[in-house]
Amino acid sequence: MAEATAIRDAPAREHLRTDEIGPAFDGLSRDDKLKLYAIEATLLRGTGLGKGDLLREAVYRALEGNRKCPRDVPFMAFLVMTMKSIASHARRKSSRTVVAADPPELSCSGETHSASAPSPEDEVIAASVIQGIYGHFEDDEEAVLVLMGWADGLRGKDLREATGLDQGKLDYAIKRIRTRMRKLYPDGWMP
Amino acid sequence: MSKTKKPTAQEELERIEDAFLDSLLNASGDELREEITAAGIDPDSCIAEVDATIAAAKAEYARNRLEEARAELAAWRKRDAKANGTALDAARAKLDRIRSGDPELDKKMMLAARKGEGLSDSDMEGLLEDLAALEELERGDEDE
Repeated sequence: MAEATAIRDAPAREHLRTDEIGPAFDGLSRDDKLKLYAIEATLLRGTGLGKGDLLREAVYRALEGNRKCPRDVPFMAFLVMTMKSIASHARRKSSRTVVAADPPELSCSGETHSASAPSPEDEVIAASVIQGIYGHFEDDEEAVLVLMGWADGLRGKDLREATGLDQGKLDYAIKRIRTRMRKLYPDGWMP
Repeated sequence: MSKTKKPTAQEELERIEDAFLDSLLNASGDELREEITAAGIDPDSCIAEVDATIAAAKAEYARNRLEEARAELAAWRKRDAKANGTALDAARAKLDRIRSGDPELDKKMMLAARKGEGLSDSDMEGLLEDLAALEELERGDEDE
């Protein structure tokens, strides 16, 4: 009996219950909302969605339990992951990538990826976008190093070591990247 | 030994995007305000837009939940009415059987009806409902 109860209650212990989602939204600070605004703007390009659509969809999915927030993940990080997932799905739907199977809908448990491979044309476009981004920072070597490190998947200590920048210089370079990218790419840079 | 696969340009772009999003998530509110203002946008209007978007999503969710609840209630009422109709039909049949098996009762009821002392429609409906309820109780006892 106790075992059955434990199994039945397991998802509720691992994820926020739907009645906890509303209060979690109410608990967002003004800074959190500013971040959500900036993050949504960065994700919009290539999705075919309008301003506010990504956030609205993420909020709705969270409320209805279509996307579940693990208890060990900060609520803001969960919202960003949800928006990113919705954006990726929308881009795949509208992209020219060769899709081997019908793209599945997003599952409750998280990200789902269809088996897809970028076409040579997509690769050329993506490579030219990257070169374009680097080109905008040719007067800022530190920023280019950080961007190259990011492209290689480096963060934290690995990024510091690869760029040779201490934390203070790294933070400042990232701030310059954010400021310039927002002006250059107000709705993101993904093709 | 397996070679590390070179990331595609698209993967590199995704990684840049992920790192950029993380940097936004980790930025302080003051930094972000400063950067948004530098882009010519009013931070307070951004916050108001986010508030409105969240409120709209909540309202849409509540509206859809209400519609679902209404649909469920209508379906339940439909099922319930059908079940009640069946029970009343059964009770009516039982009453007819009782009357036909008890000529004395049948005669008394007919006489009462002629004198205007018979059961009114609502009396009859009440009687049938009581009989249906009794049937339900009897069935419950049998099940136990």
